Amino acid sequence: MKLAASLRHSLFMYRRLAGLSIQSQLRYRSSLLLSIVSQFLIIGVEFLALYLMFQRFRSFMGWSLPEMAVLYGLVNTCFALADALAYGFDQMGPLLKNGNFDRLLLRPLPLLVQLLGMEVTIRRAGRLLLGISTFGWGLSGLLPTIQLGAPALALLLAATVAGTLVFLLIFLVQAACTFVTIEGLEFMNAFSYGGQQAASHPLLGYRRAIQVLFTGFIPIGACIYLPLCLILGRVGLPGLPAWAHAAGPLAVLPFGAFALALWHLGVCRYSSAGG
Amino acid sequence: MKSYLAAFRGRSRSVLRYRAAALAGIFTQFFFGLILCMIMEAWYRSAAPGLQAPLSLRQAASYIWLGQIIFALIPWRGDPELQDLVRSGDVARDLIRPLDVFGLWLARSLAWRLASLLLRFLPILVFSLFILPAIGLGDIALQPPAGLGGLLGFLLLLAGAAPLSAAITVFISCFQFRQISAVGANAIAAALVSFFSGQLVPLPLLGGPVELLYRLLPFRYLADVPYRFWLGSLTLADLPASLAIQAAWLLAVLTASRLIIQRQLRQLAIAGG
Repeated sequence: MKLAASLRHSLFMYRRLAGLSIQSQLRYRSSLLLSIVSQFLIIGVEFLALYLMFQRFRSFMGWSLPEMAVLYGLVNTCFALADALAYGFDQMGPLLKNGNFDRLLLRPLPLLVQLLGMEVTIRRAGRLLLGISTFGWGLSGLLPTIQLGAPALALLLAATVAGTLVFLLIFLVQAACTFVTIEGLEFMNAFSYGGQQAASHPLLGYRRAIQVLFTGFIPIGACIYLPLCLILGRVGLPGLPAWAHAAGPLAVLPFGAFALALWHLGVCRYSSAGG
Repeated sequence: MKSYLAAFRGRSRSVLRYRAAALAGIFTQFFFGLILCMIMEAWYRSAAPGLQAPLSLRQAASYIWLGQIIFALIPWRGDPELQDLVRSGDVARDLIRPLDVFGLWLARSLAWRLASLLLRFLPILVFSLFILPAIGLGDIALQPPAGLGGLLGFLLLLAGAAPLSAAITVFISCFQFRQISAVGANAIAAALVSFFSGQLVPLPLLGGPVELLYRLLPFRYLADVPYRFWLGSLTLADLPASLAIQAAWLLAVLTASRLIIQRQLRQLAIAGG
């Protein structure tokens, strides 16, 4: 009972905080719009590169361009959502350095809610827009050949939620590591941005070590790529049964437990240096 | 001249301090390079037999690693320090110095790019050239340069790429005087530079109208052209022409940014600080 009440309170506060951050960003409308268009442009060039590679090589491990567009679009959608939500995690370095983290600890609201509510970055809509449009474009090209029944749609939704969560959890791990290193950790970008780059291409194309890394350890591939393969009727990873493809999004659970445990450890061992 | 040298030295020293940040960047670049090379390998594996690609897989992988090695030299965006100068109003301090502002900013940008390059290039070079073949990833390793001529062409073009990169950095920074145009300039620069320098896709793999376009722009003289000397697709016979065009572009970008800065400074109003 008490848990439900505190959960409801957290949700209420999160909505308030997120709403306020959105309102404040909307104050600078022209700047915001330009940022969105800019991001769309920068990432649009990436998709153009993919398109041009198709002109040269015709297929990627047997995948067609619309199929690749669906994968690319879904991964970018998840990444954009996580990136927009994770602003507070990204701010851990400055928060620890200037002592403002102590203030968060004093407030009667769970830390994660406060960090998540710090800002919902609307600028990321540029990548989101690109992700959704490439996904939609690819899917519209495939619809005559693949069936999208209720199970497929449910699986797609699960993949989107799980994929967003995995990226969000990577940012959380990064934030947890900041307790030790204080400075932001550029090497974690290898896993966030690198993971996004790697997951935008079918895992089938990589060497074994990378396949294992992105299914077993940082399960971006398991959450997005494997279920998508099932929907598209493709071989995800050789030797993997169909049920394992469908269960892919569940891989977010152990990773989530790991990330939360690491975060908890960091918070428990944190001692303020004043500020 | 001494003052500009001092500005250069000061900025490079401050960049060289941040070794931990550079180390983190290097790790990220190893990882990105590996991912990109494996993607490239998959493209080549998927190609229909008999496909005539203008680069072999080994060449394409080398192209990618060269891109990681000189990554810090590529002018993705304007100089963040300059951006801060304008935002904080400290730009006024630069303006009252008895120096040419443009020369000062150029010296600082050059120091920023070169010092970052110096911190990062060697580990990635050693990793991609020696360690990858040793651990059985020779197919996606960096191949040695195509003879001494190739190495010479690469190094000379790279020496020209450094001032060109600094000039483009200052050119982008010219737009920092208004917040809106700063965001726009950074974005357009990031998109144009990453694509048309060859950092996103090896340019030799592209044909048709894109090829026409990238040949008309200065950005390939930052990366693509030096790489082609390393790979041996351009030889010593092409060297004078390449260097001449690179120098012409350098001159053009310098003149353009100088004119823009002069115009911007005439309209500049500093709001206290």
